[in-house]
Amino acid sequence: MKITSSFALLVSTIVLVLGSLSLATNSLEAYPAPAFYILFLALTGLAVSKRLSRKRIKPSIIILAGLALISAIVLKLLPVYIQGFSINGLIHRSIISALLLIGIGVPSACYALYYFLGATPRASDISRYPLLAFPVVLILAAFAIIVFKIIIAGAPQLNWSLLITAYKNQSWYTEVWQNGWPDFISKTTLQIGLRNAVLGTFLLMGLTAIISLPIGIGVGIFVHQYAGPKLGVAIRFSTTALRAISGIILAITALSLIHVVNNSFHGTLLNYLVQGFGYYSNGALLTGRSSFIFAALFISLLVIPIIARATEEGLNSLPKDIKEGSLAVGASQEHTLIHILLPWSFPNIITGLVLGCAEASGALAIIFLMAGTGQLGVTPLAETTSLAYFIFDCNFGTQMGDSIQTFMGSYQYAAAFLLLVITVGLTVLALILKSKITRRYKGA
Amino acid sequence: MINTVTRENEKAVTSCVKKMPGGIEIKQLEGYYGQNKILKGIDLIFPPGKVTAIIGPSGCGKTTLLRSLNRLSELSNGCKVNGQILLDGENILEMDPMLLRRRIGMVFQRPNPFPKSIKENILYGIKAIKLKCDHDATVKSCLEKAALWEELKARLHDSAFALSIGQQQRLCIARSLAVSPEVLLLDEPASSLDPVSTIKLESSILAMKGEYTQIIVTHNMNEARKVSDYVAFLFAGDLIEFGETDKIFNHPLKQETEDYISGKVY
Repeated sequence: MKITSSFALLVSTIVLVLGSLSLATNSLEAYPAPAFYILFLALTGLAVSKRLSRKRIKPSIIILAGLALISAIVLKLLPVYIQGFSINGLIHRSIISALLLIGIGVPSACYALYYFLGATPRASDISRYPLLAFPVVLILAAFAIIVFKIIIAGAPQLNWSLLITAYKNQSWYTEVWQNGWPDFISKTTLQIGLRNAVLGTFLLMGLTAIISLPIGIGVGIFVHQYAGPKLGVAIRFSTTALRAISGIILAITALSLIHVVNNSFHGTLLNYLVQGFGYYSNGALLTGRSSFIFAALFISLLVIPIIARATEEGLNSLPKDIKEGSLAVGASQEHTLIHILLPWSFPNIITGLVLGCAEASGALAIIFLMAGTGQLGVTPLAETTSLAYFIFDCNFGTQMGDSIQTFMGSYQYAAAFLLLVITVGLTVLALILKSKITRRYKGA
Repeated sequence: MINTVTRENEKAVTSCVKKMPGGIEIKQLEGYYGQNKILKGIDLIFPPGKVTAIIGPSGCGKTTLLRSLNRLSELSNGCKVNGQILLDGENILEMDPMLLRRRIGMVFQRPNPFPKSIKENILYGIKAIKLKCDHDATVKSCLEKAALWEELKARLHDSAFALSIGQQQRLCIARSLAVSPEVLLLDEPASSLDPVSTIKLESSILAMKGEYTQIIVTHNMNEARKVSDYVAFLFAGDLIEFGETDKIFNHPLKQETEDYISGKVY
C-alpha cells in the first residue's frame, strides 16, 4: 500500500511549497483551497487503505484530514482582506492561507513519511525530519532570495569607474568676462561614484578594530584571569547589557554628553581637535555631521563586549591542565598568558573581530546621527560615510537634505552588493586564518 | 604510630650513601580545602635520588600532598597549606613559586602538551625562564632521557597533539627535565596509558633513578612495586606507614596497609 502514502507525501510537499510561496506573494491565492481538498482526499485515502489492510492508524491523521477540509472551507469563506480585531491595517487572506498550509502541511508530511517508510520505530524517528528541516529550508530560501536579488540587481551596475570615483555635487560661482564686463555664473561639478562610501566602510571597520581590539582582549583577559568570581559576573553582566542596548540609544546619549561637555574646557579642546567637522563655530553640536573617530568610538562600545566575550570564551576553553603545566615548568603567569593562552584563543578573537567588523560595516543607527555624503574625503576627522549609510541615503536622502537620492538613488543595490562582498570576503579571510592558526597551534 | 613511621623514614634517608640535592622534608603538613582538613599533620622525608611512591585510596590527600610540594595547590580555590616543607633545608612555602617550580618538575595525570611543536614544547620552560643553553642538544638529551629520541627525531616540528597519548606523556616528562629540576613529581602518570606505553614510561622512570628525586602518586600496586624504592601509605589524611617497597608489600606493619595492598577493603 505504498501508493496512498507516497501520494499523501507528494501532496503534503506541494502544500508546503505552496504555503512557503504564499508567504511571499498573494498571486497564488486560487490554489490553497483546492490543495486542501486534495490533501483531505490523500490523508483520508491513506487512513482508509491502512484500515483496509487491518493496520493500526494514528487518530491524528484523521484529525489532520478534518482540519484540511475545514481550512479549505474557511479559506473559501474568507474575504480578500481581513480587517478588525483591533488590528490597524489590512491582512490579505494569502497570509492566512500560508499559515494554514504550513501548519497543516508540516504534520501531514511527517505522518505521510512515517507510513511511507513502513511505520517502524526507525521510520518514526525519520518522520520528525520535516518538522526540523522545514524551518531551515524556509530560512535558507529567504536568505537565498535576498542574496540572489542583491547580486542580480547590484552586480551589473558595478564598474571600475564607479569604484574609483567619489561622489561629488558641488556648486560655485566663477567670474567670466563678457563684453568687457565681469559676470558671475554658477557652475556645478557632479561626479557619480561609490569610492568614499567603500573607503569609509573600510576606515570605519579599521578604526573600530583598532579601538576595540586591545580593550576587548584586555577585558577578556581581566575577567578570565584577574577578576574574582563576583567581579567577573558583574563585568560579564554589564558587557552583555551594554551589548543589548540599541545603537540609537547609545548614539543619542553619547552625542548629548559631548554637547554638554562642549561648554567646558575639555569641550573646547575637543572642539579644537575636530573643528569644522561636527560643530558650529559657536560650539554647538551639529547633529548629523561628525567624524569617523566619533562614529568608531560609539560603534566600539557595541563591539568591545563581543570581542571581550569571545576572548574570554577562548581563554576558558584551554584545558586547566595545560595552563598548570606551563606554570609547573616555572613559567610566570604573564608568560603563560602570552605564549599559551592568547595563541590558543586567537581563533575566538578573530571570530569576535569579524563579528565586530560586520557590526561596524552595517551600523546605521549610530552613524545616522553623524553621517554625511563623504564629499569632504575619507579621513578619520572627516564626516562619516559608509555603504550602509549610502544605502539609507539612496532611499531617504532628499528628506535628509542630501542630494544623493536624486543622483545616485538607483545605485543602492550596487552598494548593497559591495557591502555583501566585503562582509563575505572578511568572513572567508577569517576562516582561512583560523584554520591556519588552528593547524599551527592545535595540530588538528 | 608516628614514631615507628618516622624511625623507618629516617633510616631510609640515612641509608642513601650519596648525599645529593633534591631531598624534601615535610614537617607537620596540614592541608585544607575550604573547611575540610585533607592532610592532618604529615611528617615525611623523601630520600634524594630515589623513587618514592605515595599510595592510598581516593580522596586520602595524595594529590594535595603532591601539589603542595610545588605549590600548584595554591592555584585551586580555597586550598590552603600549613606547616613546613623543606627542599634542601629551604622552606618551600617562603620561596618564590616560579623559582621553586624550576627545581621541582611535575608530570600530570593526563598528558598536557602545549599546543605547539614537539621542539617548542621541550624548549618552552627554557625560554620561559630565559636560560641560555644549546637548544638542539637540550632537545636531544631530554628526549633521550624520556626514551623518545629514536621515535621522534625526524618529526621535531610536528604538533605535539599529533602524538599518541603515551608519547605525549613521555614528552611531558622530557619537557619537565629541560629546566634541569632536582625533583620530579608524577601524579598518576600512567593512569590514561595503555599497557605498552605504561611499560615504556616505567622504564624511563627507572632510568632516571639516581639523577632525580622522584615522587610518584599511583593507584596501581604493580607499578608502585616495580618502580619505587620506598612507599608511603596515606589514609584519610594521615601517613600510616612508610618503608622500603619490599617491606611494605611483603611484611606491612599495619593492618590498614595490608588490607589496602591486598585489596580487601576500600
